[in-house]
Amino acid sequence: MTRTEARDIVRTLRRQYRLASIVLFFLLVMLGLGMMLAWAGTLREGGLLSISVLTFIALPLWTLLYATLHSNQVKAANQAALHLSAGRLDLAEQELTSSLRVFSLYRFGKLLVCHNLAVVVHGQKQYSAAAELCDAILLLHGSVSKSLGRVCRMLLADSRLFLGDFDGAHRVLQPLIARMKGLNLTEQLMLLPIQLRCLFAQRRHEDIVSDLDWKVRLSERLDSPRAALVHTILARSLQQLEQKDIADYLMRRATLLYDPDALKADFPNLLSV
Amino acid sequence: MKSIDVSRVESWMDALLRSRPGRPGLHHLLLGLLFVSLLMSLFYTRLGVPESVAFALPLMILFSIFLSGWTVGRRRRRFRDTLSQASDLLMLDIVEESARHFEQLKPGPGLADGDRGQSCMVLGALAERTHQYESAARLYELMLIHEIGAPSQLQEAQISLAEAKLRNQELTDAVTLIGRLAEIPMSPPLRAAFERVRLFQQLFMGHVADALTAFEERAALFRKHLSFKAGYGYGLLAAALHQSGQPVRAAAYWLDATTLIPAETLLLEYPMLQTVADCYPAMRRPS
Repeated sequence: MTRTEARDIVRTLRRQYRLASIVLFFLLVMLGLGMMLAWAGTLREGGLLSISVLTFIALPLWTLLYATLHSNQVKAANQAALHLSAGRLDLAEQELTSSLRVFSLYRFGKLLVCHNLAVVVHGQKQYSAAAELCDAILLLHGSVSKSLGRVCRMLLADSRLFLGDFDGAHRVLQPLIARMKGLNLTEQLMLLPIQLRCLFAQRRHEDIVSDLDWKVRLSERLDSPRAALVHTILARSLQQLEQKDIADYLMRRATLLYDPDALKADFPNLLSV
Repeated sequence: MKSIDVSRVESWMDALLRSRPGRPGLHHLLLGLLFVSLLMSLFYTRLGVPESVAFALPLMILFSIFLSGWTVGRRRRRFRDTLSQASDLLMLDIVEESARHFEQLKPGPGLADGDRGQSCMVLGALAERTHQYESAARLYELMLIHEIGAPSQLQEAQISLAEAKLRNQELTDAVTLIGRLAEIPMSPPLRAAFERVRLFQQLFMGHVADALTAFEERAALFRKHLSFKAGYGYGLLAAALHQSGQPVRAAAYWLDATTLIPAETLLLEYPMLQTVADCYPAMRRPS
């Protein structure tokens, strides 16, 4: 997916998000009006008729737009997950892109699909497109208190790091770092390598090696490439701080965890710092 | 911490099965009632229903639908949060605290299949960490019989079942299951986890020549997909090399294993590695 295609999807998403808000408002007004008319008794004879008629129109419409279209979206998401588990990122991308173009009242579901698409595109190393999608999600749902917002922030920071925008990545991460204790372990695990890459780019070696034991312990729960990445960053910072023994030990662990050449290929920006 | 015996595992499974989706629940009943009450409010004069009832009933049912949806959603979120805490603590090897969190879990309607499967995997891992392999094996068996969990969780359960059976000395069952799993296509990370169990089985049964076949491929698979748990694989590979009379390579693999995982932890998981630990120096983390 190119950046232009991602922008096109973001435009569609924003349009649909606004439209869904208007339709939801309209349906709520219909329901509320029906009840108010009956309650106020302004149409004494037709009071109950009005609530029934309005509710009969509003509820099926709601069900149709919410449940039917939402179930299509869920089906698409499940299908995409199957493609992902089979390693077919291209098919998952197709499935999610077409699902995003279908209108649905379930706005949060739309954001979830967009987030999944960002994950797929990020997995395909299309970082500028992934950043566009994450930016859009954060604009529509930027709350740091919600898991989706937090994960999106990390994905965006990671994409910016790959694009060489270290300061931008650090800015995106700031709200997360400020409330680190509120993150669950999975989120802390996701954040650790991204945060360390940011700090390493800014040459903040003291900050990198602070709370070293906890960082090493956390990294032992990461997958091989990211565990090796964290170990490499910690080892390099320790070398800078002239703590050679522990630096060598961590570097040896990093080498055992993952091929150093593959690590260089996976994180080219890291070594250019 | 409560012991995770077989009866506890079975009662957990019963609770999960009772709360399985599929049967019409309260939500369906309320939707039906809403439809009937709306029809009634349309024709209330003809049906002779008092106006206040015809007005209030649909609203009350509508409110009940929202309330029941909110309650189910809240219960699901609470279950997921507690399960996630138990799982996080277990991941950090804080077993007792993890078990305490797990005890607070109560399965109810509306749980996703993935959450049910995940709860079984956490309970199974707790049983394994406390060396209650009989309970772990029973849990994985029930999970597979009733197909609780996502496909990847079921495949993981099969691998864990094979290991639990090995540790229970149910060798015939374990070998049959491992033989069957060897034929099944699986994702590379699961294949790596499976190869570790197969290597353990080969060493456990004294089949050293088998343990040395595809040696380099196995080591590469462990390195690529098992992260720190590759240390267990390296420890087992060191044992295979030691038993086949290759002390230099065995010493190198033991050093690699202990670089990733402390020797004490390796011995706790695989007591058979004691002979290797006695012969070769282990890596110690500099202070």
